[in-house]
Amino acid sequence: MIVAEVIENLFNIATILALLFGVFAGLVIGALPGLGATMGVALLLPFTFSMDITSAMVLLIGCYCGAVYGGSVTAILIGSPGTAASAATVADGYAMSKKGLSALALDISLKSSIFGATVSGVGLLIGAPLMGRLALEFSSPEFVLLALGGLIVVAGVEASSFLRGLAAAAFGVLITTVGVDAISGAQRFTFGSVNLMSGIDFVPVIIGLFAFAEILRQVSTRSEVIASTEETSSQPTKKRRKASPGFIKKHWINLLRSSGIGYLLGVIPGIGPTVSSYLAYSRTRAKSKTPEEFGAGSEEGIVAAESANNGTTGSTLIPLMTMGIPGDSVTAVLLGAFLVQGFTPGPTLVADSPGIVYSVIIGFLLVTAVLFAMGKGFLPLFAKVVFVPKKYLMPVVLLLCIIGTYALNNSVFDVLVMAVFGILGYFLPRHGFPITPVLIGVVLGGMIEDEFRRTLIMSGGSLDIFMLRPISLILLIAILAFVLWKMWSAARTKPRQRLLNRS
Amino acid sequence: MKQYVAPSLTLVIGIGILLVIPQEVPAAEGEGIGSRTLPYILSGVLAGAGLLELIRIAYNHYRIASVTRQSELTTDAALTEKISLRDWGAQGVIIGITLFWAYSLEHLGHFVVSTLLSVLVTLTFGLRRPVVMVFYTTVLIVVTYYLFAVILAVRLPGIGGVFN
Repeated sequence: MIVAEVIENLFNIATILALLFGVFAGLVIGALPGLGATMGVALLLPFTFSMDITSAMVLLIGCYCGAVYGGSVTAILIGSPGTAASAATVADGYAMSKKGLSALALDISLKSSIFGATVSGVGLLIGAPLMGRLALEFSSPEFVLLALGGLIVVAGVEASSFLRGLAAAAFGVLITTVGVDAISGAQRFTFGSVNLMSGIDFVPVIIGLFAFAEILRQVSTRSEVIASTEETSSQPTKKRRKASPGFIKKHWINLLRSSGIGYLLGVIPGIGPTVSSYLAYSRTRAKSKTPEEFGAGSEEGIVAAESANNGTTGSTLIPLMTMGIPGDSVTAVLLGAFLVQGFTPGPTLVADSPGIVYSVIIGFLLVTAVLFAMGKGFLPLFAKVVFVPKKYLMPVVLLLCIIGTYALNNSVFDVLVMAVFGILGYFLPRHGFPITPVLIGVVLGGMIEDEFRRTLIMSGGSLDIFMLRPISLILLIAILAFVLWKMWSAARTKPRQRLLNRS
Repeated sequence: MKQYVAPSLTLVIGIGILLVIPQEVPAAEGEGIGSRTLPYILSGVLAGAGLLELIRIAYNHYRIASVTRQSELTTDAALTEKISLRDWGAQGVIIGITLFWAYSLEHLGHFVVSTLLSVLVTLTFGLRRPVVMVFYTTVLIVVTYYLFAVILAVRLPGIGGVFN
């Protein structure tokens, strides 16, 4: 029954085209330094409004996975990571390029990425139903704490100062209180505006914070192209171009360890592919027989970084689909896409619509296969994308931002909201406020208030309920422990060291 | 002193929202919590985070000043990196043309406002070849119209009200 539904959902022209386009767009966007996975997924979000849920999710997941891999292309060719997740690839990938081995480095990167994504996809297939069953035990108090915990962890991990992260998260949730309160019918922060009565939609916020803000950043940078062209001697040469046939056999321990690190860290909110790739890289260097080669063009280094960052892509979907909790900005946009389609991710989605959940999971594995084929076939093209001048690229991005936002409700008010949040997205990071907690706050704010209300109805208005239920008590202790740890580590760092860390 | 600006603003915004809540959020009692509860909590968090951050920075200032020279009191590189007048101008053009697009779409239509947007943005980003600009803009406008208005059925007026 489910198998038939999955086949029907996935193997139709619309979904296959969405899959191909998503991966292609992701590879191109990922290959452009500065235009990361979140921006790519945010730009494609308006195209999903008229799609069915499976096509929409396959398009966005394809873009996500494509962008995470695409980031390694620039990391290897010009030493500038296309996405933050590929930053760990720069050291060895670019070093290999300088030796004239860029084609080999790209091949190793592709194979490692595919291995990591496949492990993550299989892990998603196994982990999502298990987590879904566990999530059935959760009720409103647990969901409130899970959402709060996710927000606090992201706020703590993303910001240089925990307090600024917390302020960003609070601001994000506060935005969701604008409009008519669904329960009491009270108008909150509408200031007499009819447009604000229905609240602030998260789609303009997403596009503004990530895409419009990036245009404002790019317009103030001097270079003609997004990538630096000062060292382009790293074009593929006629030296060794492909990884050896026994690549997997040679690196299987490293591949499994790094993919495993990526997979496990992907489940935890706020960690994401960047941290996992650095962690896998440092673990591999510690275990390596030739640690001195790391940073000078080590195959092991590329394998570790790329399999780990792609290893997170599938596992980040587990808390998203089973509990409705996004762990980072990309999954927050994916959650937004689910909501736009009229589906609320969480245990009820897993229980009531397993066909959709499995379609998304199998779709993820198909994305991995397509990514491999496209990576192999179009790599020279993606390598050229790096050098597309900004003057041709940015008008396209701006027009997609504007019309994509307008397309949500055919409303120019949404375009204004997008512009306002674009300006905020430009200025907030400049002052140490991360934008991911704002985004997650905007996406989760409504859910937090609704579940908090249900919790208090369940308890008759008492907050003791959070301490009387075992799972919520564990979550509460975990959140408090994280907050205390962040404060303790901030107090422990000497001021001079903090300055050095920042610089 | 620059590092005090952002937390001070956070504190002011938090307090400002706390003060605005009684006027802008009616005290309707919902089930479980009232309509004001979450706004009060969140604006309190904003103000509290701003205040604590100010205290933290002031304390660090004092501690660093006691162990090192005053000139080392540099904070985030981003804070010290100034936005030049040219950058303000370029960003102003991007924001201005976006607002113009939003206000003029119904009156002038996609073909006119998006053409103006494309020309201004390409100029801002440094394209100076008229023939390339005309070709590029034409392709961009036609493709986006076809994509959104025809394929995705978005109600995107091609020709605005003033031309009808």
